Amino acid sequence: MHISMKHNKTTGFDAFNSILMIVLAIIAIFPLYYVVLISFADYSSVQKQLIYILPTSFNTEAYKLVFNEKLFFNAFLVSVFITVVGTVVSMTFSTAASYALSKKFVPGQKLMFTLILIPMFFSGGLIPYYLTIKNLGLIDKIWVLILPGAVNSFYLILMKNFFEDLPASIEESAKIDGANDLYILYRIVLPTSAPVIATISLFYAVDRWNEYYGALLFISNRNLYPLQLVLREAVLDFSQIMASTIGAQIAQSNRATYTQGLQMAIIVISTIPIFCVYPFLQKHFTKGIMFGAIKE
Amino acid sequence: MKNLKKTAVFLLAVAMIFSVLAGCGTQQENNAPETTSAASTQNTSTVAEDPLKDHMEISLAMWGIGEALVEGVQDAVRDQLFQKLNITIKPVNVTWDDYTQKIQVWAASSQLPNMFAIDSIGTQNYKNWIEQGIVHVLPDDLSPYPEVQKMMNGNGMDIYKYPMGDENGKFYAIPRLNHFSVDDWSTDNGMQVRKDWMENVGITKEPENMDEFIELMKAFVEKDPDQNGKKDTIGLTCYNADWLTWFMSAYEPGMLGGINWVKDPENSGQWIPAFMTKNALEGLKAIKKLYDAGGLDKDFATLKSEEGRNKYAANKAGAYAHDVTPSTLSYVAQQFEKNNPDKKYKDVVTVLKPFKNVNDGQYYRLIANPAWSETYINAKTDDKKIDRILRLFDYVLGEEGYNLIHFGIEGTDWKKDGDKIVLTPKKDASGNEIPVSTTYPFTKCGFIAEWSGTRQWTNPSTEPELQKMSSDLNDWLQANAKPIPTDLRVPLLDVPDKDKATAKFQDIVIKCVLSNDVEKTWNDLVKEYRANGYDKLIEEINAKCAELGIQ
Repeated sequence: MHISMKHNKTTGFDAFNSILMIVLAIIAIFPLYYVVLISFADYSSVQKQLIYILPTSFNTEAYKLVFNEKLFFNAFLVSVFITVVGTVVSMTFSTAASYALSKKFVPGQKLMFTLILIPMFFSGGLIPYYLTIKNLGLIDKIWVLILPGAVNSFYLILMKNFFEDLPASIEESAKIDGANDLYILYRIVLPTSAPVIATISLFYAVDRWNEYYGALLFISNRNLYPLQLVLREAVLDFSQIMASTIGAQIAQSNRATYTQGLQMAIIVISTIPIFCVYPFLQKHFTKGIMFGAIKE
Repeated sequence: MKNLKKTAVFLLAVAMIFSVLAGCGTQQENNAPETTSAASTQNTSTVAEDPLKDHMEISLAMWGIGEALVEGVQDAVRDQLFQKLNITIKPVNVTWDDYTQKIQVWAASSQLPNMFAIDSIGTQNYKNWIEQGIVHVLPDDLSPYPEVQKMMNGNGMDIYKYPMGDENGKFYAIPRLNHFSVDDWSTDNGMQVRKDWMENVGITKEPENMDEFIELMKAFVEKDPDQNGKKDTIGLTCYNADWLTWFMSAYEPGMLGGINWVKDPENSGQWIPAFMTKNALEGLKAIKKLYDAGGLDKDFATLKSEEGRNKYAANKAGAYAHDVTPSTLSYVAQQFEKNNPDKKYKDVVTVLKPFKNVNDGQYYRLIANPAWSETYINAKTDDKKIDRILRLFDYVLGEEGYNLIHFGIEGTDWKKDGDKIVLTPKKDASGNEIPVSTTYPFTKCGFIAEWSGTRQWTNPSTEPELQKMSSDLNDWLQANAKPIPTDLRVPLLDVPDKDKATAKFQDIVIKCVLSNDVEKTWNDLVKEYRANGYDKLIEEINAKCAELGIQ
């Protein structure tokens, strides 16, 4: 009797829990479903129906427009370039720096680490940053989206902590066998550091793919706009960002026409690459947050 | 080790002090060009006799100019303009969402192009740029540039002098006209209504007050005006909630088109923002009544971009609050005729006259400053280049240049028929007209000197009957309606707390209409805005008005 009563209570809670989770899942998935739905919908069908929830039309015109329009295609290629090349550059510098900083015997290690830590909390400001970039000759160059942000201090610290936790014995035995530091790093340490490499690479890749602020400030050449900047331009509601109603009206009527379908298509194309990568690397992503958090 | 630490800390402290000093150094350099500006205004008379002799490259930052000036692309309009003035324009592209930020950063880091467009007048940037000598003053003598001179001497242009109200004030920017005069804004706020739907619901008289309007909108909701057998229509929709200001002319005219400054009838004529008057509350209550009666789109608070326009064009709504300029009427017509290939928009639409004001029985019409945004010249630009820039503006403000950068090449893309321009667009293999911007990308920045509103009633690319509809309404408004009771100089006055003027009609109308008690919500909003800076701002504005004799 007691056991069956306990079993009924649990079932009731489970049912409520399941329903709640299903509702929350629908709420989370519905916007995505709606975006994809509208991106493939016929313009007139969407306008004529009061609510468009079920796909009553199919039209790939928005996608054709996106891929045929030079601006979007360029932006897609730029985003792919800065993601791939940027991640490689970032990982090269981050790995080398974090490995070096993980060695206590490196002269000035503490000072260098402090100097890296300070900019995490304090920044020189926008104008000095702009002038620095300008003096480096990076204005309106694609490398401005890769080099200034090549090393993220937080990710550096994560990797440093991971390298510090590696058993010293592996490196010592390699040193005894005559290996130098570079050899140890690339042949011994990195192969054993696959989890952190995968995680930090994913972090960098996501950061690069979502990059738009650097482009907004430093890029005027439309051929170098990344996809996120084009997306921002396409979906922005000017009445929210401009103080003047007249200004917002002028802005809206003088920019290219982005129908709802086109906006949705750009959103889908901007998010697909990340969607493809995330399921495979998700476990590394969640593990990676905890790197260095617990010292053994 | 300890010594090493101390040395490191000392070096860090020194580095921080030097970086602060470096920032101070930049300000002193910025002060230098001011003296050059004064000298430059006196030097304009020494410009060479053949002003177009030397080829010049002029850099220009303007919205979307990167699309209009693309290297390697053939563009006869661009070539003709450049040849005429012996210039090359180097585009420095900015977009609508980043232009303010970019220009501010460039101004602070001395990276500005020769000229740039931005809506800065009346802001702290405007004052700082002038006082720090970042932007160049325009020559006192504009006679070599008659079209520019005519524009600068036009109706309402005094507000662009700095300091405002000073007889000896100078122009530091070339205003980018949206209209030639403050009065030409009359149709920039209006109401389009489906007259065929009115016939279908049996109400053929155009509404003349809010109660009649509500009845009409209710009929649009309940009586199947599109005759499709379904109850799927709404009454009024809008471009966004900002455009509901159209109703305010009947209650608080100072809120027509936005939040203007008006004399408070309850407080000895003190200048206050219009949303704080009791009349404004009455207007908000009226809109709430429309909403509660079901006559207003339930989504009015969240409409953005073209949602409202699309609903109206797709036969989902019977009335549309936006402007009734020829270009908007034409754009709606395009969308409408895509959804209704068997109908012409000009046959089914009417544009309403405003309602009489409930307090004084007058009609009111919108007025506003003639220009939105300005073109500034970098203070480091030399006199010859300034002269060329002004000649560029003079040319494109004149008829020949305007026609070139808007319609293309005479004889190829358009021809003159007496006084009128008749477009002769090229067609593609399928017989569709090729837009002039496809053939000549430079026409995408046809707004290089002025916006499209200036010649809206003679623009040959607008549907003639819709153009006449807008023009007729304008004529009626000029004859029968008073301008809204405001002084256009007041929002531009230079007072310390001007940046506190953050109230937007959209926010106020949404909060009030969606609340259960409009009066309480309005009172709370007014209290909140007053506490967040408006009290001080009102004091400063009134003091400044008294100083400048603004009655």
